[in-house]
Amino acid sequence: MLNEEKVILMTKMTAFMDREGKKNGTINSYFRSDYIGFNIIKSVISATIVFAIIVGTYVLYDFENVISTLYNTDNLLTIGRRYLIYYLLLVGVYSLASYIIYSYRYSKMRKNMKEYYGNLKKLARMYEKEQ
Amino acid sequence: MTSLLELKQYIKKFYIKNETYITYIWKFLLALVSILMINGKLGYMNSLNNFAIVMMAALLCAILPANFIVFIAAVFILGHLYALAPECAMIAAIIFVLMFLLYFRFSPKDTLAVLLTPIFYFLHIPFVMPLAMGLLGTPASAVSVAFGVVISFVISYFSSNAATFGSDGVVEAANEFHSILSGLIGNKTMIVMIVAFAITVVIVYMIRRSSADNSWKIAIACGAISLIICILIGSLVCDADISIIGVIFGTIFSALLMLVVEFFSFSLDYSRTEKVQFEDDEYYYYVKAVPKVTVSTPERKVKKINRAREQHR
Repeated sequence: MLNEEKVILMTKMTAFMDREGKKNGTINSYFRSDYIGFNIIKSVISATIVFAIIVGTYVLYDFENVISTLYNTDNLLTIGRRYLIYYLLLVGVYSLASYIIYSYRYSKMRKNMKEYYGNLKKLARMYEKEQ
Repeated sequence: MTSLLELKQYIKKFYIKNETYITYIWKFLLALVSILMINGKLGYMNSLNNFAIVMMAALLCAILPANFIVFIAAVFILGHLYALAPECAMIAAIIFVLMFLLYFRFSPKDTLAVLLTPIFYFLHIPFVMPLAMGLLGTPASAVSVAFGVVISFVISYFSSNAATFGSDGVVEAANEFHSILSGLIGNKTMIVMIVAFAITVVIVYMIRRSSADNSWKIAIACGAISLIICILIGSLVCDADISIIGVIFGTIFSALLMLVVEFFSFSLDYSRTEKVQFEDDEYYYYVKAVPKVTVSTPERKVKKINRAREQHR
């Protein structure tokens, strides 16, 4: 005999898993700190690439000026320091943003998964009742 | 009004019933329109202008995820610009890479805004985008709209200054690189637009989320007004070259368009048709779960007029 209630519950759960399961499953396989840390490392890498591209574009843009300042070796240290500060600022802001975003995502995923596990328990109870 | 609501329900039912096919069709049309627009503005590479290639790309976009349209559009832009001059393609590539690394790693859902903004820009109603994204998106959509504005200005820059490019020799190329970048960054109209659009997105979003009655309509009106005021102030402060009449009429037109969007904005709260299969010990289940469409018709007021008593007097 078909148990209608059971079918509805199972459909809901499968639909959830089809839609979100793969994504949530990957997130769920990490600890919170690992997940966020891993993504912050990714952000730092992409921030570094972004910085390199911006500096490269700037050098191409203002080629003569850059070359002439580079020959003037006194400036080199101050310029280097200034660029380092820019770099750290970019990385810092970007990492902070990704920290916030990914912590939010992790907690949202936990909530969803908790609901899913709750449904799973409900389903198990239905089976017990049937027998 | 009742017939309009009925029409809405009918469209909603039709959409839910045929969702799979409609999705294919709108993706195909969107891809086709954006590619044709790019070809019309920048058609420098002959092989990309080939109709068969355009159709093939659009069909490919129809079956692949929606974000793929953005990728294809970027490829077409880069191809045309490369045919024009490699340094132009390089600038566009830099912009695309920055966009991807900075933003779309976080919110891949918003990429369509980047595609739609240039389309509406070339239809002369870019004002649709901030209003629409405020209504349908989040405040973070301001960033996608901003990127869209940048891309539209890049395309129109290359399309209007095409004759000056095409150099030989490294020095000339470097000079061109310089002049293109200063032409783009120094474009005050672009900056005014970006700021005005960002402010509008946030304002529309905030009002739309409030619990006041008719919050969507108020949000549209406030958004339109703030858009006009911001662009006016911006163009006065920065001496930007913006036609005020165009802005006002464009904004009013966009606001009217938004009323239509508001009417049909059922995509937000509706759950989609699910086709799932699973099994337990006894059965295999192939379930198609179709969401219920709830009809919310306005309350009918019945007014009783007692004529009978008056006649007796």
